[in-house]
Amino acid sequence: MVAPETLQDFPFFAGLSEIQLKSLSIIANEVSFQRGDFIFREDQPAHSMYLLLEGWVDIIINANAQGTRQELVTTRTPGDIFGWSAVVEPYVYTASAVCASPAKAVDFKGSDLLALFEMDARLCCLFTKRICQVVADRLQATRLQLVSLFLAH
Amino acid sequence: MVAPEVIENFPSFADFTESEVKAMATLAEERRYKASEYVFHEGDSADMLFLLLEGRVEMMMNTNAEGTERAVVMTAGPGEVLAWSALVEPYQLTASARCATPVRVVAMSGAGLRALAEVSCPLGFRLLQKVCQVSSSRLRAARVQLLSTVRPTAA
Repeated sequence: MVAPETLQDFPFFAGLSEIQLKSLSIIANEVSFQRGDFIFREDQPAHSMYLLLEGWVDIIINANAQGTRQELVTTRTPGDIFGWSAVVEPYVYTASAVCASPAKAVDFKGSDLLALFEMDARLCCLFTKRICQVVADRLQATRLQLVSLFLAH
Repeated sequence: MVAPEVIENFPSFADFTESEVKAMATLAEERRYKASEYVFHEGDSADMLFLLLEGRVEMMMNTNAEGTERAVVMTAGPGEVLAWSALVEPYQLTASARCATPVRVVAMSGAGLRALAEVSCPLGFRLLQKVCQVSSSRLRAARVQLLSTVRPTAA
């Protein structure tokens, strides 16, 4: 478990009730990683969603079918949510996460989150809405990058 | 309103209950567009969610501030959901949709869907799950496209 205060200052958790923050903090665990550690790998079952507290995490995807060549697509910084595939069907990571520096994060087990959602329908909806926004923002950012390349050529 | 079967038979809406489908059908209407017509424009408020029944739609993004020039970022075909921004704050369209062929869609009121989701959390959850899935797979596709544009040999 982490202190509820750890979560409440991050925009992702804004607007949650005290009880909701508490229940999330009970299922959460703080985890530390070293530079070069893989937090999760693409195409593996998505066990956890993370809130990054300290450090940088590179999000990379396989650039060939064999998975022998990987490319950086974005870097996550403190306050960012990543590993959201843990709450989005079919619960499989769509990218790998590797630490670009020593990193500290809050780990939410997907199964614990889904169990919490079963008990609190409001939290379920609010949380899923926030996840939607995270994914939508990433998509928008990636497309803008793509469009800027079209312009450059 | 459309016949509930139209929604029921739409691939990603197969797991809604009969009453949910009925409720959504009352918020929906069928629309047709000609090739090269716009279904919606980037930056406009996202009032409708579209289920693409027939035809192909090019999703485009503005490449200048005036919005007079656009680049295609993906092409959508039958079975795809467009304008998911209608369910995600700030309910503003992040791309334009132009028909590459004649197109038939089901247009569903975004405000109506949001109200339904407020009333029924299970329905809201499933709708948002679909939005997440759609954007997640589009994100994956956009990243691959980005990589292959930056380093043509990588992909």
